Amino acid sequence: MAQATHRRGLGFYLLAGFFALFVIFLYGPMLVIFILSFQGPTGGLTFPLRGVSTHWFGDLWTSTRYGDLGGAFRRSMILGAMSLLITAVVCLFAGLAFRKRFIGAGPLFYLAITSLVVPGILLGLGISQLFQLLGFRLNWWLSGLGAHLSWTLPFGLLIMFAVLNRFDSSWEEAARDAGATPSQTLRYVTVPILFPGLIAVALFGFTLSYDEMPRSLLTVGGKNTLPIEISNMTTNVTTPALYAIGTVTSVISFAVIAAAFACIALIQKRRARAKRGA
Amino acid sequence: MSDASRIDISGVTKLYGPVKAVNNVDLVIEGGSYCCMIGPSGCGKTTLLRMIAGHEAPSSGRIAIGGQDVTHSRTGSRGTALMFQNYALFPHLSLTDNVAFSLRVKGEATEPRRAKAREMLDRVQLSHLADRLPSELSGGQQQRVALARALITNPKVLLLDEPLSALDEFLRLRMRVELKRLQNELGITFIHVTHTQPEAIALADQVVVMDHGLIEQAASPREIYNHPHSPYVARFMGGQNVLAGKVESISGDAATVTTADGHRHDLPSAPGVTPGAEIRFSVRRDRIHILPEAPARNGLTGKVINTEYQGTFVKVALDTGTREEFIIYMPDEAWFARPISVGETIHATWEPAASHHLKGTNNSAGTPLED
Amino acid sequence: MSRSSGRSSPLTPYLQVAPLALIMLAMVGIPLITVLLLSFWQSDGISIYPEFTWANYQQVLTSPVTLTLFLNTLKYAGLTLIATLLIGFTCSYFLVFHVRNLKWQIGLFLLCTIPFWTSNVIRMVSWIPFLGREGVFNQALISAGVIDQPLDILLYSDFAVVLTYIHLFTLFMIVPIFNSMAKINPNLIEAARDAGASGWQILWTVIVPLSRTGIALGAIFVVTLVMGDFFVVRVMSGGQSASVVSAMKNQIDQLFYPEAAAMAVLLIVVVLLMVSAILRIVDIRSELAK
Repeated sequence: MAQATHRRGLGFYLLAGFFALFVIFLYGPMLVIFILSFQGPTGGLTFPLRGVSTHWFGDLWTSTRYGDLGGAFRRSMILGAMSLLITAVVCLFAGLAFRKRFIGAGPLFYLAITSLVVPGILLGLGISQLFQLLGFRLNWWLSGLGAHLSWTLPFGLLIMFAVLNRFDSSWEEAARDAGATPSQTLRYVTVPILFPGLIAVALFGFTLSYDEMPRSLLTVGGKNTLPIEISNMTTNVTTPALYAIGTVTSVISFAVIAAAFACIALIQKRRARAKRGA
Repeated sequence: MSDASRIDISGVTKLYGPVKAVNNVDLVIEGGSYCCMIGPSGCGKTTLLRMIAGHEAPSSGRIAIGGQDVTHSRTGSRGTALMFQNYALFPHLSLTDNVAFSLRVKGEATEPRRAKAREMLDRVQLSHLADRLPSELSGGQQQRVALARALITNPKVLLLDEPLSALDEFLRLRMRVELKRLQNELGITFIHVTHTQPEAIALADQVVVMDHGLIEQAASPREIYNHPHSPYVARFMGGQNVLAGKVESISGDAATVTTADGHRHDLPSAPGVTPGAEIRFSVRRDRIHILPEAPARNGLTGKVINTEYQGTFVKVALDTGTREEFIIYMPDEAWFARPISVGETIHATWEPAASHHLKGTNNSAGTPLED
Repeated sequence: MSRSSGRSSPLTPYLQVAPLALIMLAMVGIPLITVLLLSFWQSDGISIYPEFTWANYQQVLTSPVTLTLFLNTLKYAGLTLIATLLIGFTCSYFLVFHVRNLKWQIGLFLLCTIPFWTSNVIRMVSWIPFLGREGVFNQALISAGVIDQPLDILLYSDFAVVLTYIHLFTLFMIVPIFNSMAKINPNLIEAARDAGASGWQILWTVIVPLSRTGIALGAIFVVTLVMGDFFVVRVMSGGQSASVVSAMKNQIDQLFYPEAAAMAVLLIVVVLLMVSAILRIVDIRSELAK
């Protein structure tokens, strides 16, 4: 690019400084609660640190003050895993379908977009009232899962559109031309080529579900998910245990993101290694 | 072999909504021949090719390969193999696995199919790259892989969708030679879609010129070039000037035609025309001579608007008062002996044998449409 | 040419899209209709009767609280929109036009987007040790000698609410603007510079107009997110402020479902009006198709 020949002016450094401030703004507070979650047993919600300990992490396990955190965590993980699987599979096929014209494509797309922009709690209200009207009990693994899917599927669909933008449908035609059946085409060509993109869709499926709160609130029935438990804690827990649970759940989120990126990187590396003719 | 790979297309139409992409086409392609389909974008040539391959189903009509009706048989089971314009090599598979793909879906075991694939890669001189991915290959190499992948199915008919369009000029000429050699070697039918005239002329046994979903002319390259069916074919294939005039008199098959500017022309063969009819005829650009004075017949007068040196000849464009430029290909010695400058008025003439009556009525400009 | 796949059955797309369609209908379409129905039904605070009434709307529309709530919510949305737009545009501009190395550009972009995949609740909570009376901010200001007394307006105030919104939602502005800007052909900027345009002129006449799709998309995200929130308002204002949805949440907690539903319908109407106003300025669909 011709730009590369210009020297970096004052503008660059001003903008770089602004960007750095923004990144600090984005990550700084989180960093502070990670540090504060290691408060000593007598420490409070703010600095200074009174010793360094893992007391509050232990407190999460042992104390009964924080409700059913273990159960909430387990439910959130199961919901996340189910959302991951359903989002990846449903969005893959829906994305493939949207490449062709079909009746109802427009309304369905707008319904998905509506689901993104409507306040989550309102959709939760609708789902919970619908279940009650039909005489079904609210359950985290049914109404709760449905509420999560109303959030993860539209996102997954949009990612899938972006992924399919770079997918050449003549690959599928070439497979058919070589005599492949539709299921062979899917297994040997479509899915392998789309795989890195599918990991991204799955990542969205998991993390959006794992962190979802407003839609879950009215739909999970008697058993809470982790974000609901944490949001309850914000109003009635005044110890660093709040930060400890924050650290734990953020570490899990980051681990999932890292695992997803590592998967994508691994696939690309494997393809690159094949390139070198190893 | 040759009968097994003969293609009969009868009454084939393809509708996209109300648009007739292919309009009631009849065509016979002899087994073992090299057929080039040519025409501007949107003329229906690719649709016709894809219907032969089975990627599109005809709205009506019948397609037979080797005498067997394949109109509704499955893609990949009709003895055709398609080479895609962008090659469509699977980006996640090595060259070997790309070439072995059709054997894999037929359930052949890994080792034997890879061995066959490597053999095929050897045939296109790429065995040394067998474990690479397509993205690491040059355009020309990718094309040879696509060829290998198509040929491993032992097709009766190889279909090529603008196979050379993604290559640079140098590679294009080299691959052109290679395609022709391959076709001779295999003895199967090649159907090659292109929009480049020299490619069609150089490769084909049979050239099929299409426009608006119709076949304008299907004949040998020499026939197409020397005896174009319509003004459209003459203009599209190039090398011809198209003139229009009124038939003044006939004698036998020969006719005398007067153009709007009053020049008289002899057409040695124009069967079926009647005096007074408006007809068009073509004149080979390389059969025209320059005269110092206006000729009595078979010539015209015009103002030079452009001259272009082409190496072995000079292209001189005349404005003759019609909307169409009149082009003369002058041998370079003749031009350098007496250079002509833009703005000069010159007189041109030709033997009656260089004139050819255009029977067809398609008078469109024939310049390839831009995509 | 045509993308039709020829041989595959015309039923294929319907089968492929059926799971999505079923889930979206069951979990979005029908629930929204339920909310609409609910807003016309009667309740006595204990149970709901499916009998038609305008009372819920009457109550919502005549209550002076409603207007206050909407104005308060719009104030939050407006302030957040301006701040996120300025930050988002500047950061995207920096990433696209000043970071020349593609690896760095993608890396820094991801750095901005990673918090999206973590919990909003935690990200909000993380401001508490920062902004409180004894918080990092006040401590820093006091030790720097700027103030003697800790500032009370930092936490549990409108300031805290808007700050949290900016923190949570700026990346919804960065992602679409970055995408629009990344599509701008660098030759256009060179052409503008060749024509003698100054840096500011290039910004205003080339970059801003060509980023408008991203700006509009980002604005839609930010406005709908702020207007749909109840949790940040409730916690970060310390219960002193309310927005439409937080008031709705209170009604739900008190089991006044039909009133809440009427409020919700009103909110959706306002949000849709705002979104269509944005769409009127920028035709996102035709721009995205480019």
